[in-house]
Amino acid sequence: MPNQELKELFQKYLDNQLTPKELDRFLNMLHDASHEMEASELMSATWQEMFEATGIDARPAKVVSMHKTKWWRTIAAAIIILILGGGALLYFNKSTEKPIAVMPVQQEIMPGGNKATLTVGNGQKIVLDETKNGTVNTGDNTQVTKTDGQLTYATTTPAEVSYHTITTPRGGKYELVLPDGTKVLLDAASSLRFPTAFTGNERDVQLTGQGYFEVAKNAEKPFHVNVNGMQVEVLGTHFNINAYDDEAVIKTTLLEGSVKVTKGNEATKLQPGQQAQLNKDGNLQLIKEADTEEATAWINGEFLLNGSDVAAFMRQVSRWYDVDVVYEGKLPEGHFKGKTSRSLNLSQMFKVLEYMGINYKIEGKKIIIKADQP
Amino acid sequence: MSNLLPNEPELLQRLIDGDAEAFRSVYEHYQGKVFLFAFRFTKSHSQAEETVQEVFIKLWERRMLVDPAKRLEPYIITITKNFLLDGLKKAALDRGLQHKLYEQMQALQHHSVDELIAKEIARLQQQAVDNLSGQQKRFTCSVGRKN
Repeated sequence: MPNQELKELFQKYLDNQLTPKELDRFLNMLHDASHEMEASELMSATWQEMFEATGIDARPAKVVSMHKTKWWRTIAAAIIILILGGGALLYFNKSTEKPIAVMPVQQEIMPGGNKATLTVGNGQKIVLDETKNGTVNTGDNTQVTKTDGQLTYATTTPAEVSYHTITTPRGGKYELVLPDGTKVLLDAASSLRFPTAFTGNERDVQLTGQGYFEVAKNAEKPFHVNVNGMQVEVLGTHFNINAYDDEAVIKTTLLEGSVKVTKGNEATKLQPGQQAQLNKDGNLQLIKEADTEEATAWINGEFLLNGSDVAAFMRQVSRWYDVDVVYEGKLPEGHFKGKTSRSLNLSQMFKVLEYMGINYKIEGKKIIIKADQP
Repeated sequence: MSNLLPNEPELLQRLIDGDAEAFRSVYEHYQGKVFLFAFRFTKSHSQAEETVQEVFIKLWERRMLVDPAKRLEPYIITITKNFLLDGLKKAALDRGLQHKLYEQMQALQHHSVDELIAKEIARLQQQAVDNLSGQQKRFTCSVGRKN
């Protein structure tokens, strides 16, 4: 005879709704051997409800729609991917259900690392990842010290100021301390041009790609980041600029302090937590509640995706793993949500994609993403 | 859609014969379900992870009892249920465990769905780095995973 009380307590336990007294009662009922069979049946029914009746498979290439599912079902997809990917936590909302293609990864492609080239005043190029730690011979009397993945410029003013450019390849990143103490983290496929001393009334640098800035405070010498004709003026603050050519907008995200973003006659002032977006037509838009976490996840070694489509994620993968991504047929539909670690090997990263039902093929350093199969 | 592993009978025969790769396939296929199920009962990520480990270690140790002609999932469900029930029974007798369980349950109850997701994601990310690599290491030892 089914025990109504056990059944009710069981359901409340699953729903996290028991009082301390009820929890005590519930656990004691479970401990009672006479309820063993029934408890076991209730658990089986729970498994059934979670995975079979609802259609949640061990792999989440299924309909997982945020608003329709209970939170734990959404997490289901996330967690499963997390464990399989060994450091990835992503889920993927798709509108269609389809079989999963399993494609072996032929060769291991490692994630990006500390790689950059420094071009000094006379045009000479120094490959930093092949340079020993210590003083870097720039040939122009600038005092530069290299440690692992970081270049530090001395605050002393050299006899002659010249311009240096640090360039990261795809799959590279580098940290830089400018002569004024400003810290810059340069992401993959990016560059920063700067003087070896800030002697004028302003501090001007030029960025391509993506950089995170912690600008040393100096109210008398405003710091300007110039990006593609856009200027970000700062006094002392933390912010991120994402200005990759293949992205639709240039995003300036402010974490601390205040910055002014100017493009032509348009200007907008940012408060912490806000983002300025400049599109290709030159329109500047202020996002009042920006996703700062997403904008700066790369600094913490993560890909954080908040509803990015396949192409947006692939652009990041392409830059970090130094691979080319091409599409065969229509772009697979769906959106990524979640995080993965940027320290995964490419094969681990693709394991994640595989479980999300993305069909792909690897040919050397080219990744071919195939259209959704009907 | 079937939840069966591709070629499950053949895979299970290899598992019984002690094939580490076959074990790994089984592990990869079922561990997600075991984790999620365990999380609903333990209300704790670390305990859910522990459950996954124990269940699959038990499966490996008792692989001789697997019937390749039958589906593996009911067997995994049984091992998982027994492990979780044992844990809950322990909590019935241990005030400290019971209090902790109540707190974990309450922590889940007092958060909105979105908040909960965000929180779990942040925690899991950390655990992915800390614990899961350890967990994988542990399995790597017994499985000899190629990498």
